[in-house]
Amino acid sequence: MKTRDFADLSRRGFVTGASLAALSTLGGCKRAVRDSKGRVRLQLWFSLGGRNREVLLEIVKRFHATQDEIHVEPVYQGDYFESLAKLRTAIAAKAAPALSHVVAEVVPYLARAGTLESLDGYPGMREIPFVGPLAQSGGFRGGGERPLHGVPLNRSTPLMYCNGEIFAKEGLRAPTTWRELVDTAKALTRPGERWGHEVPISWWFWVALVGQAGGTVFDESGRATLGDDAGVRALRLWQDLVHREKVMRPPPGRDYDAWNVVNQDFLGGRAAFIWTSTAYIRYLEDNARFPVIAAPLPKDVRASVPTGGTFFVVVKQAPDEEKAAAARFLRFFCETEQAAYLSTRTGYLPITTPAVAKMRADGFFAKHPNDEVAQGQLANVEPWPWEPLLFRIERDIVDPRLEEAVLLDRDAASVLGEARTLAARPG
Amino acid sequence: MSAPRSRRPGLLPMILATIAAAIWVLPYAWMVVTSLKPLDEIAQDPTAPFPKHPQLGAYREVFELVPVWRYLLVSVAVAVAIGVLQLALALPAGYALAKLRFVGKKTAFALVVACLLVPAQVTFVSVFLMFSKLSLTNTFSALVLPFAASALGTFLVRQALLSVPDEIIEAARLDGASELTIIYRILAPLLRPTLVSVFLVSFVFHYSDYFWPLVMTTDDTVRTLPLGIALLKEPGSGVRWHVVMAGNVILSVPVLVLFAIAQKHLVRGVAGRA
Repeated sequence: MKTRDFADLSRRGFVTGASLAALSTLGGCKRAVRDSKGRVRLQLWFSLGGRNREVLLEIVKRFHATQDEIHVEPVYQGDYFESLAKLRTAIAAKAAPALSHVVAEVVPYLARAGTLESLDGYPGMREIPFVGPLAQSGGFRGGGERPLHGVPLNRSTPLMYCNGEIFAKEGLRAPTTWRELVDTAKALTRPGERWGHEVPISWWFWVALVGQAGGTVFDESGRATLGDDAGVRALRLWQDLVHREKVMRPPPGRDYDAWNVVNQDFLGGRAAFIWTSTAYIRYLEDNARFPVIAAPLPKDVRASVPTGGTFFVVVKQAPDEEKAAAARFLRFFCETEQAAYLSTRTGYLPITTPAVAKMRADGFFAKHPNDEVAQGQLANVEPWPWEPLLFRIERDIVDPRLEEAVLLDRDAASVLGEARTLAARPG
Repeated sequence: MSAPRSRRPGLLPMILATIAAAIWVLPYAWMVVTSLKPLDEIAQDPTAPFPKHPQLGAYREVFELVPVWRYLLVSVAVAVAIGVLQLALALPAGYALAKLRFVGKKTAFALVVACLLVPAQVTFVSVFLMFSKLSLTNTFSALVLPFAASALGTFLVRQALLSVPDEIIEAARLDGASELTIIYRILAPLLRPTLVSVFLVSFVFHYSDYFWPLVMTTDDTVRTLPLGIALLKEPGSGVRWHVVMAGNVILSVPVLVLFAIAQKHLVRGVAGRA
């Protein structure tokens, strides 16, 4: 038995292997600002899959075709929330990319933390003719007076979608008030076969209801009121539709699971009218076997919708060359051709006024009346407060409680009272 | 002398086993069936057991949208490297905990067991910061090294070694074998079913791991297949379920093949016949 030989060999092998492993672990390289062709490497972390990703990559391709000094490297980083967690970690590790995009409600938080570059000093950035409610200036209260931190990428609002076949058969039109919403849902519900109405139980749609009931989630002093009475009325509307009227499907899940179920129920004819994002216009139109009719959300005391989607942000700690490259790419992204292209392919709202004008001149809105409805609803946008705690309150405090309150029919006032107490604690 | 007759399982165990198998197989079957349906058919009747108009377009789309082969190669390389390293380290660790006497042995074992309770999500921030300081993020090492030592592997090897008679080790020592020889040349072959099980469990977990590669990679250089398949999800523009399901079928095929090959060892490992 050649045990001794093997033992010697294994010890040598072990030591050699360990040394190689140690060397290999030190083999990582420092961040290279330029690639082998001398171009600035611009890392772009994104969270878009499917068609949205294809559109973004096409715009990057177009950018590369126009110049040879900057090379954009788009990298998928999971969904919005995974991507945000990673971006925050990477910022702490000083390893963040120059360019990323984040959900709108996170921008104030990242800005307060001093992690975002002000884009005011970069040529042409302040002059981009954004559509007011979709930009930082109109999307946030007081957003215009602050340094420019966010450039709109994919922006949306909630929208109502009706199954045109069912509505025509029943001789009904899209509801315009909460009262009509309840009545229409009752008229269109067929127990065991079809729900009259469906909506993902989510902060975004609840905020829309709060606004329609005449409230705001934050008051002027920055206190999280969660709509006070309007918030309670909004939540009770859902509870009544689910438990008393039995015309709305109970929450089938959380986050995008709920959104997907609502879409599938609508496409499958199992829901007569739904609320979801304008971002799904193309998807629903392309895949429905019936005419899809979009309508503005109904009002209670007033019409109101929040905005959604994401903003591009430039990370402050990135090297100057990369930040300048990011600003240049953003200007290209906001050019009319690109802004119109993204909107026509995806259903997200066009982010600049020339893009809207181009789409109108091209006859796009005439051919796609649902997009025109989404445009019209921009007049009812309720800006978000510029509150650093906004996102935490949304994700950690309100969203989980909404689902629970609707599922279990908990007392709306006490649920929101509890949420208000938690929201008042320092974050 | 006639060979002993094998006992046939009774009807009830057969029925229970069939039900259990169906519970495991049905989601997979649903995934395959859904991948063969067009999207409108899925929306109309998501639970229909057979597609009315079967089509393979979703598979074609997956290969067009995602560099499947490159991601697959990285995934397999990462999972194999982790599996091999885990075996290499679990063997001496398990041996020490099972067969050696030293102060703090029970505490060490308790710590190993405690490690089973800590998920990667808890440690990822500190590990990311550490790897980032060493400029190791976005490298093959970042995907492999944090998992080189496996608490589960160590635990299973230790349990298997407890049933190995000490006389075998004593005899090897008398023959002049070193500890490393005893571990890797004498005990490892005896533990083959356990080691195969450890490798398979590790392979499946790390081959299909989404979270860690997502955190540790910053571009496509060492991206793995689960991240590629996640690209097919369209949270902002509507999910095309047939494409997502086709991607998942492709993702799961290598694991199924591996299980088919190693089935015998796996059953022996689970049955505890190390």
